[in-house]
Amino acid sequence: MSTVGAPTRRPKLPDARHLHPSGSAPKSSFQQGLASLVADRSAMIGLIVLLIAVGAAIFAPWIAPYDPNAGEGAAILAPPLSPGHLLGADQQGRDILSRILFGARLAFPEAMIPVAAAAIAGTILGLLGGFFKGIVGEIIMRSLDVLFAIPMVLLAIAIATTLGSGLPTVILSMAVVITPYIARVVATTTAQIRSAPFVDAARCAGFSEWRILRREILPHVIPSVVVYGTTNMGAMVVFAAGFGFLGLGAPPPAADWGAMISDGMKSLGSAPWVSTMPGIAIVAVSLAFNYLGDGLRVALDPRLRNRR
Amino acid sequence: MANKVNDALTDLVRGKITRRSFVQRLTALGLAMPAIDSLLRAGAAVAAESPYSVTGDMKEGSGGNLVVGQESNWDVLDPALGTGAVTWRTCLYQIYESLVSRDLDNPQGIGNQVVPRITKSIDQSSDGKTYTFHLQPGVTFTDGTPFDADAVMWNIERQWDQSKTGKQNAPQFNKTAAAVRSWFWEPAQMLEMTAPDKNTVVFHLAKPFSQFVSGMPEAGLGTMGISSPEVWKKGGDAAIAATPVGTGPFLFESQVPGDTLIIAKNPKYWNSSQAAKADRITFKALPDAATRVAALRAGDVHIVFAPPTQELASLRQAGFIVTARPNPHLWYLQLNANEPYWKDARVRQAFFMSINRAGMASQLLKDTVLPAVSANGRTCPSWTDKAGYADYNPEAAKKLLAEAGFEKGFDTIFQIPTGGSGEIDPVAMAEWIAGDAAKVGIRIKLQTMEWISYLHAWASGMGAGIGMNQQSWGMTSMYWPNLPLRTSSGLNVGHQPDKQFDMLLDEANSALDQDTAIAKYRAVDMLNAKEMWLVPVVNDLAPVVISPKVKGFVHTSDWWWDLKKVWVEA
Amino acid sequence: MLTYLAQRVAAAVPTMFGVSVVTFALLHIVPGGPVVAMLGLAASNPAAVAAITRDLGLDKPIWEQYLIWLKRALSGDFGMSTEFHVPVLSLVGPKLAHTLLLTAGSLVYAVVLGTIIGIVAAVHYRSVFDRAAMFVTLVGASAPVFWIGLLLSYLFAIRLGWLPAMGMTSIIGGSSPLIVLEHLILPAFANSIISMAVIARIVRSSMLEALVQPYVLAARARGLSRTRQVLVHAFRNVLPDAINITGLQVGFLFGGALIVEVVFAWPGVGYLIYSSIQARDYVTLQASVLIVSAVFVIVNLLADMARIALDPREQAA
Repeated sequence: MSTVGAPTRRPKLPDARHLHPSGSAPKSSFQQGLASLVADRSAMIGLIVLLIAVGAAIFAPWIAPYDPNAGEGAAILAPPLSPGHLLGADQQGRDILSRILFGARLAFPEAMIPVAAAAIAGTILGLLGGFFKGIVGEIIMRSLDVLFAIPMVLLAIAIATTLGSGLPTVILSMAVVITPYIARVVATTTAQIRSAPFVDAARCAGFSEWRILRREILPHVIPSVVVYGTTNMGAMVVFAAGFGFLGLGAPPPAADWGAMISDGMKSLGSAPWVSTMPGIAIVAVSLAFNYLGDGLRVALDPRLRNRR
Repeated sequence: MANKVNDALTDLVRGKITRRSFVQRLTALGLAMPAIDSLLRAGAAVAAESPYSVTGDMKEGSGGNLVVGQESNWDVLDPALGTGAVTWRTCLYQIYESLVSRDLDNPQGIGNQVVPRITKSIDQSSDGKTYTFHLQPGVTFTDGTPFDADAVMWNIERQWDQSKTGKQNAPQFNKTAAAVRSWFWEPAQMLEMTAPDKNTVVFHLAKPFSQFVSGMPEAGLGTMGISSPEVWKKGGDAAIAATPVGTGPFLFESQVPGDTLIIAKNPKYWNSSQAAKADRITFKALPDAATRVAALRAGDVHIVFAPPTQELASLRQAGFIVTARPNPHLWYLQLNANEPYWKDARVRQAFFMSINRAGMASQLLKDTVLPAVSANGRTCPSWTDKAGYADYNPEAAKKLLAEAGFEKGFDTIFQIPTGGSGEIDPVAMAEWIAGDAAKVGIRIKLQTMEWISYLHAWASGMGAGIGMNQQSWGMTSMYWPNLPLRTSSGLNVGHQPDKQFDMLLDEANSALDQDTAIAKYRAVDMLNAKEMWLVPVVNDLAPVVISPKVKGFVHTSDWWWDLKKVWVEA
Repeated sequence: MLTYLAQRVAAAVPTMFGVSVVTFALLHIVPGGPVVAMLGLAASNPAAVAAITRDLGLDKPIWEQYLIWLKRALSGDFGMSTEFHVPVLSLVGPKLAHTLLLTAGSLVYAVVLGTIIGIVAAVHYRSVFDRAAMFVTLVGASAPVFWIGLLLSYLFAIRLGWLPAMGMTSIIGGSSPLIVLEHLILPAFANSIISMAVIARIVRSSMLEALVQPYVLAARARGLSRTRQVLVHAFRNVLPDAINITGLQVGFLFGGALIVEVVFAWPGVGYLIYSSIQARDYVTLQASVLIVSAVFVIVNLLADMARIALDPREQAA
C-alpha cells in the first residue's frame, strides 16, 4: 500500500460524547438557535399569526365572502356586525373583511420585496464602500450620506410622485430608501474586518480582492443583514401602508390597507370602523413580525441567547 | 296638489319618468300647457324639491365675522392673472367688480340673467359690432382713485393683445393674462376701444359676437374684474397681488398665504342699497375634507364648501343646513376619435345608453347631482332637455353594438384623476360607469392619476390606446360648447373631427340677437346628442353646508358667490 | 470635541450640495410641473402654457436652471413660491419653527413617559404592569403613526370633544401659547409613541441590569428606601444608555413629525412639502427639502454631541 500520491486524510478527532453530562453531542450553533427560537413563546405566536395572514392572503379569492371591488348601494357605510358584513362596509358599500383579506396580497409583497431588493443592493454597495479605501469607497459613502440626509418620507414621496402611483413604484421607492441603511450596516462590518488577520492571510495566499470580498467578508456580513431585514420587517409593513395612505400605492379600487384608512378619514365622524379595521390588520401583522424578529435576533446572537 | 306636482318634478329630474309621462301627469292634475312648460324650464324649482334648499335662514340683520372653509387654496389675488373659479369666488368677486355680472343673490329663477354691475346700461348696435357701455358715475376704488372709462380701458389693455390689430401693447399688458383670457378676446375680435366721455366706453368688434356681454362675467380663465390702475403704477403686478384694490362691497384686509384671507366691509361702496351686511369675512384654506367638516362641527367655520357626501345626513341631523342649486357645472367624458371602435356613431351612442346616470346620481352621489341631459350646464340659456339625448337603455345599447359589429364588445382605457376642483368623486363615478358599461360588453380599464399629472396628460390631448377621459366645467354663457366641441380647440382632447360643429358654432357666435343664438347653440347640442363626442354624465348641485347662525345666504347659480347679503348672528 | 464638530460640519457641506442636486433632478422629472398647476384647466391653451413656461424660466435646459437656482440660493434668494406668490424663505421659516415645536413636544413625551414606564416596569419586573406596559408599547410601536393619529383624533376630538382635531391655532380663538399647546397635545403624542416604546424598553432592560448590581445592593444594605435606591443609584447607571437612545431618536422624531403634520393639518414644513408636491411648487420644494435636510443633519449632529458630552464612558475614550 503506497501512501505517496494518496490524499492525506484528516485524522479522526476523539469522540467527545462521553464528556458531555447528558450523554449527547454538543448542539451546533444552528440547532441552538433554533431551539431558542422555538422556546420563545412570543416569537412562536408571531409566527403562527403570520402564517395565518399569509394563508389568508393566498386563499383570499376563496375565503373572502365578497368581491372586494363590488360595491353594494344598500350596504354603504354599514357598521360592523351588520348582516353579511362582519367588519362593516365602506363608503362604496364594499365589504371591509373581504378588502382586508385581499389587501394582505398587497401588504406582504410591498414589505418583503423591497427588503430583499435592498438587502442585495445594500450589501453590494456596503461591501464596496467599506472595503475599497480609495476614491470608489469615498464616492459610495458620500452618496449614501446624501441619501441619509433626506428624510425617508420625503425621498419616498418624491420618487413615487415622479414615477406615478402603483405597486412597482412603492416597491422601488422603499427599496431605494432602505438600501442606504443596510449599506451602512454592511459597510461598518466590512470596514471592521478588512484589516483582520485572516483577510491579510488570504491576501498573502494570493487571492484576488474580489475573491476576498466574496469568500471571506461576505459570510460575516450576511447574518447582520438578515437580522436587520427581519427585525425591521414590521416597520416595512407600516411604511408601505404609509404609501397607500398618501395615495401613492396601488391605484383605486385596489384594496390597499393604507388607502383604505385614508378613504375612511372622510367619514371618520360617522363611520370610524372604515379607518379602524385596516389599521388593526396592519398592527397585527407588524406586531407578529416584530415578535418574530425579536426572537430571531436573540436566537442568532449567542450572547443574547444565553442570557435568557 | 302641490305635492303631486313636486313628486312628478322629482321623478322627471331623476329620470324615473319620461317627459311625456310628466306632461300627462300634470295635465291630469289640471295644469295648463304654459304652466307645465315653465315648470319644465325652471331648474331652480326642481332643485327646491330635492332634500337641499336653495337658501339658509333669510332673517334680516347685519354684522358678524363670517368664517368660510375653502376646499383649496386661492391663486394670486390679481383679477387678470388669478385662475380657477375658487380664487374669483373666494375673495376677488367680493372685492373686484366686472362691468356686468349675474343675479347671484336672488333665490328665484335660474340666475343666468346678465345684470349690469358698475355699468348703468349697455347699447348694442343693430349690426352687432358696436357695444356702448354707460358706466356708473361717481364710483371710486377703495384707494380713493376714480373709477372711470380710463380705468376700464387700462384694465382691458392688460389682458387684450392689441398687437394683433397692429397697435402696440400698453406697458401694463401681461402676456399670461392675455393667453389665459384669449378664449374670450379671440372670438371677440375687437378692433378698438374708445371713450367719448369719462363715463362711456365703446367697443368696436370686427364682426358680431353674440356672447360678448354674456362672456364678460365668466371667470376661471381670467376675469374682467376692474382693479385700480394706481396700484400697478406704484408697484407692478406684485403690488396688485399684495394689496388688491377694487370697487366692490368688500375691501382687502390681510392674508396669510395658503392659510387665511380676510376682507372687511367697504364703508364707501358706491351702491349703498347693496352694501355688505357682514363686518368681515375670513376665508380659511382647508383642503382636507375631513378637516373642513371637523372645523364646521367645532364651530370654527360657518360655511364649508365641497363637503363629503357621506357626512351630509349626519350634518343635517346635527342642525346644519345643506344648500344646493343647479349651476353650470357639467361632469363629462370625451371619446378619443382616433380609437377604431369609436369610429361608428352607433357604438358611441350605445356607450352613452349603457350608463345609468340617474342611478349614479341617486345611489352613489345621494342626489347631490342631477343626471345630465345636455352638453350645456343647467343655467345656460340654451340648456334644454329636448336636445335628443337618449335614455338609459342597456338592452338597446347591446342591440346597437351588435348592429355595429361589436356583439363581443371591446376593451378600452379610461383616464381619470383621483381628485381635482369640481370633480366630485371621480374614481367612484368612473367605477360606476365601468360597471355599467361592462354589462353591455364594453370592458373599461381605469387608469388613475393624481390631479396635476392628470391635467398635464389631459391638456396634451388623448394619446393612442386611451379611449376616454373626463373633465368638469361648463359656463352660464352660451359660449361654452365652443371650448370642448370646436375641432381646433385645445379642449377638444378627443380630437373630434366633425367640422359641422365648427359651422354651427360660428353661426351661433355671430347671431345678432339672443333668441337666434339660443336656437343655434341648441342645434350644436342636438348634433352632439347624435354624434356623442362629448358624453354628459351629471350636473353637480355643489352642496354647501352652513351653520344655522349664518343668515341671508343664497346658494349661487354659478361657479362663484356673492356674499354681500350674508351676515352672522352672534 | 471641536475637531469632531469641525469634521462633521465639513462633511456636511458636500452632502447638502448633493441633496440639492438630487432634489432638483427628481423634481424636474415629475410630470406636469408648476405651469399646469398654476393654470389649471387653462393648461389646455398652448399659448398660456408657453407664456408662463417662459416667465418661470422653465424652457431652459435643466443644468442651466440648476445653476441659476444655485447662484441665487447662495446669495439668500430662494425665489417666489408659485403657489403662494410670496418669497419662499418667508414661507418656510415660520413653518420650520412649527415643526421643531412639534418635534420638541414629541421628544418630551417620549423621554418623560418612556423613562417613567421603563423604570416602573423594571422595578415591578414580571408584574402585570410590566407585561402590560411592554405589550402596549410594542403594539403602539407596531402601528402606523397616521392611524394612531386618526384614532386619537376620533376619540379625543370628535367623540369626547376635549381637544382640537386639527391645526395649530384656533380659527376663532386666536393663537396664544396656551391655545397652541392645546393643539400640540394630540399630534405630539401620536408622533412620540414609537420612540416612547423604544426608550421604555431600553430603560427597562438597563434598569434591570442596574438593579442587581452590587452598589444597589449596598444601598439597600445601608437601609436606604427603595425609591432612593432606584432613583438615585440605579438610575444614574441607566442614564448613559437612555441618553444614547434618545439622541438616536431625535432625528427619527423630526422625520416622523412630517407625517403627523399631514394627518393633523399641523402647519409645519412637512405639511408644506406635502402640499407643494401636489401643487408642483418646485421653488418651495427645492428650498424646503434642502432646509429640512440641513436641519436633519444639524439635529443629528447636536444629538451626537450631547451624547458624547454627557456619556462619561465616551469622554474617557
